[in-house]
Amino acid sequence: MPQDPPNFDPDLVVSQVIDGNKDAYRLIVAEYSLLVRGFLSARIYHLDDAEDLAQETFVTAYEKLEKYEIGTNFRAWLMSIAQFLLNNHWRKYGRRATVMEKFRQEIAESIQPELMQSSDDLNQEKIKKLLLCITKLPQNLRQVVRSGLEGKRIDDLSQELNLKPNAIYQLRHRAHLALKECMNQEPPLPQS
Amino acid sequence: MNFLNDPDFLDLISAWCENKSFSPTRRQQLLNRLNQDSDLRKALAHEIEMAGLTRAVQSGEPRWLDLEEKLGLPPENKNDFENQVWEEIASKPLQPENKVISFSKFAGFGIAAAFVLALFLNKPESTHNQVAKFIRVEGPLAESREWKSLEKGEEFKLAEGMVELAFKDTGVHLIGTGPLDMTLVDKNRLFLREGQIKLVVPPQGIGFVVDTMERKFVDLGTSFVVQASNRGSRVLVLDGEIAVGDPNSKQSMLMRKGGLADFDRNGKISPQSTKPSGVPDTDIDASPKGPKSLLGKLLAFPEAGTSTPGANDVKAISRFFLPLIQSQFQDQQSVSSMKQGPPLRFRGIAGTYDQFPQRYNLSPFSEQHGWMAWFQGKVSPPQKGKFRFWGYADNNLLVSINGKPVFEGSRYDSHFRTELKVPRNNHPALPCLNARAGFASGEWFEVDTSPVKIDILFGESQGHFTSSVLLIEQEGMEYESTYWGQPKWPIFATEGFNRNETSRLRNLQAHMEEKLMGSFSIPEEELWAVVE
Repeated sequence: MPQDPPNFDPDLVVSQVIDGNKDAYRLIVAEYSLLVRGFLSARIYHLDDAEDLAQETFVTAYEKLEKYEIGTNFRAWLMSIAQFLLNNHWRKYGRRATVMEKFRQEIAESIQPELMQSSDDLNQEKIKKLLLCITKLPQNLRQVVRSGLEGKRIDDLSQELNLKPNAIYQLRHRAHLALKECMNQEPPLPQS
Repeated sequence: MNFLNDPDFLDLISAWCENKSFSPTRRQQLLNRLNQDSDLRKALAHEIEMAGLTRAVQSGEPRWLDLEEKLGLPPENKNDFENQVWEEIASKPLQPENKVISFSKFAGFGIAAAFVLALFLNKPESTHNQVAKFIRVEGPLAESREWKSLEKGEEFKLAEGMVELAFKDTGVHLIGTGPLDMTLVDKNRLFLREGQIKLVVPPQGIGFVVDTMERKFVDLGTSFVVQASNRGSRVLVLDGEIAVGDPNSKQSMLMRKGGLADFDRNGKISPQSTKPSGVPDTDIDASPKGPKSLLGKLLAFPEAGTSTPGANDVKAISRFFLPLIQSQFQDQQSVSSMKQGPPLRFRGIAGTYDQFPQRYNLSPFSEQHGWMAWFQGKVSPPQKGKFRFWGYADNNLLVSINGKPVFEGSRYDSHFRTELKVPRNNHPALPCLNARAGFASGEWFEVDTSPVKIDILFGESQGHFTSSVLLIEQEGMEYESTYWGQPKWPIFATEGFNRNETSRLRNLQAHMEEKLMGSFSIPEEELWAVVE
């Protein structure tokens, strides 16, 4: 089970929040937001939906904070809330999903254990390095990685780069492999 | 295991990322394979996880209002330093008397204390408050001191010249030109009191804020230019998008690539559309002289019989010019019936041509319905190699080599663009006269020293606001660049320019560099010789 990042003691912060220091909860949000947003963005097609659900995760966790058992694993507890909300989202969304949306859900269910494992392998420190790693990618790989954020359709991108769609997927896959390697190797970022 | 060439993997990715449709049989095949192949499941999970993560980390900090409501406002003393700096900025007049750094008392005390502590600890230099490092400073002040870094809250002023800075951690790159007056609030924020800056913001700098008296400009992963003066501020988005916030309300608006807007002191916003370029009309002597000139003719569009904007352009281009272009400029019958002005000599294309047809006796036809200048001849390049054209025209610009269009740099609504679909790349980061779309470039074409046939079409569809620039680049050639990073490609020319023309072009150069961040060079040796 992945542990909380070193140098950050969520139990201490949770105790402060429970004792009435609401503002301390911002530390929790700052520490875990990328992890939760990344987890949900990977599983939900529309980024806006993923962001909404990430917010709901932190709101729910805040409301239920007293139920968290100090001394256990805060990250796992938080991610279980995200997973619960995600399941709800799929259930709600599934009723009006198109054939292809249902297919995507079937894919997600098939690889659920692998997705969980892949998510568990990540920690905040690695995620924080990701931006730096993206900037180190060669131009064409960076362009492909950024295209997802810009909402570019693969057809447009393939026209722009003069490549076939499959070649774009291959480039993206290669970029992801390079990013993962970089995240695992990169020394910690200097503190400002 | 490598799945780069596995069609199942690629189809699963396309279904996941692009919602691509597959037949029921194919969907079942993919699910079956997925259920049987654990390596494929792992690879797909990894791919999906990384795609989500890269989206999340690049999308900037979200604004979670529901959560904010739960937690209430952050304590006021959270950003004491920033608030102090901010109050200091807000209280300063536009023409401040103090010359350099200004801090609030609190901040000053804090930094002084930090300095003393640094001395006490025998450290040669404290970098704790460093916000940005100088890359270069040019101008009268360049040699006046050693330029190392700027600190949090430091005000930087430059009367003349330029400065290039890199922001710590965020990697934001800034180029500013004097007169400039700005305060670096922190590594994610600056206040621009006066001057013009261009920012290029890498992914880790997303969310960088530029404040002016009128507006807050928040970068969303882009490159943009902000100008501020005592009359207001202006922003031009070169790439990506920015959020423009009103400091007096929570409202904000998104501006995208190519967007340009002015904000005056009363809060009035003026999105800019095409308007006169701001440079004097091109008063050139285009009457033919000698055999070494590329010759042309000026043609007036006939009346289209409709007041619909653009209708004339569509009709005239469809009727007269498409047959001409499609016949590789052989079949001139289509244009033979058009009203013609006197013969012209090609003197390059650079500047404003609002009065061009009037100067060449095509009035009043051209004023009402538009015109086209057509230059043609045989030319030899200065040396063999690969070339491409750069430029833009409001409205129409097309260059053809040996009958094949190699460059089309017309305005977005030109009928040339919709009908001919000549390959072109737009470069909004290189703004060009009255065009927010920026320079366009054509495909490379190769020529040896033997002559090629050239045809140039340039003109206006309707009205008086006509501007254009036509430049040429040779592959492998080094060109001087502007502060903003644009190579100064030479004007495409077939003859040298006399003193008056050179002076006019220098004025145009200065206008483009100061106001638009675009430029060109005046050719001396890069002339294309007319052979026929």
